[in-house]
Amino acid sequence: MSPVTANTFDAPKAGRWPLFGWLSFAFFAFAQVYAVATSPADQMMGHLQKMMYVHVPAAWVTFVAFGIVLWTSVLFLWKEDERHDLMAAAAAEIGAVFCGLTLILGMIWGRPTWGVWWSWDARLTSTLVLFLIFVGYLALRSFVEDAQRRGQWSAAVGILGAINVPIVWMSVKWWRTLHQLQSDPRSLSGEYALGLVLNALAFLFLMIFFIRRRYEAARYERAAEHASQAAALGGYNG
Amino acid sequence: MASNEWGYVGAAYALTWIVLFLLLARVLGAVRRAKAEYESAVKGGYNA
Repeated sequence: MSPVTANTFDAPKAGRWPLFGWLSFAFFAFAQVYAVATSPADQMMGHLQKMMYVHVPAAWVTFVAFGIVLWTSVLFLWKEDERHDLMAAAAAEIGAVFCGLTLILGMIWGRPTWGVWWSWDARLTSTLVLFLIFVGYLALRSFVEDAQRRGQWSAAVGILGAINVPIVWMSVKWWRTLHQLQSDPRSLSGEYALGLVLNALAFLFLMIFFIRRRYEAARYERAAEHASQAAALGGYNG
Repeated sequence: MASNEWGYVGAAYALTWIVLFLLLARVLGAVRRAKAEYESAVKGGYNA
């Protein structure tokens, strides 16, 4: 077996993931239209309540993505298989985008309900810290050349960063905050709950699709590096 | 309650869609570039 075809550096296969992506976007569009069209104006917030269907699912999938970072980082440190490191990096990148989106959507919701765009309360501040940790994680990966060292360092940052997730989740209970308690389908009336569940599933499907395709790109990048190295060392014979 | 609540709701939904489409373009672009790089590296290897 040539170095290029060795297990970790195989070219990945797209399989049915492109179809999964388009179906996820179609389901997302349906979930958004359904939620906006069927939920009545809230007594306190009026139509501002409809921001729940984007802000809350974006926050939930952020936590799931950083949970994947935690799991794959531990697996990388344990098994030293580079595929786990690449999966952690893909999940961190997509998670950071959803985390940034959560923060901005929260600001857009906060302005008309609290009267301010931002408040340094526990939920907002801990979410901002979570976002900055994963931006730092991605910056760290771009600075370290050696793959082994990059994997180990970023796994350590990824694990420490993911530990912040339960702090963000519990912050509204542990401290007095402007932010309301966690939204939960069980605590909502039926006319709001189904829209939230549908949008949460749609965001989850999109997150899975984005992470899988980003991982595929990273696998191609590594396979290309190894193909180039093999060629420089005497020609590709796979 | 804000008088222009639909404006805030519209901004939130528009921003969500824009971010998701930019992310889609970024991810698919990364796959396309990396795949082309891999294929050219393999082709280069065969020709070496």
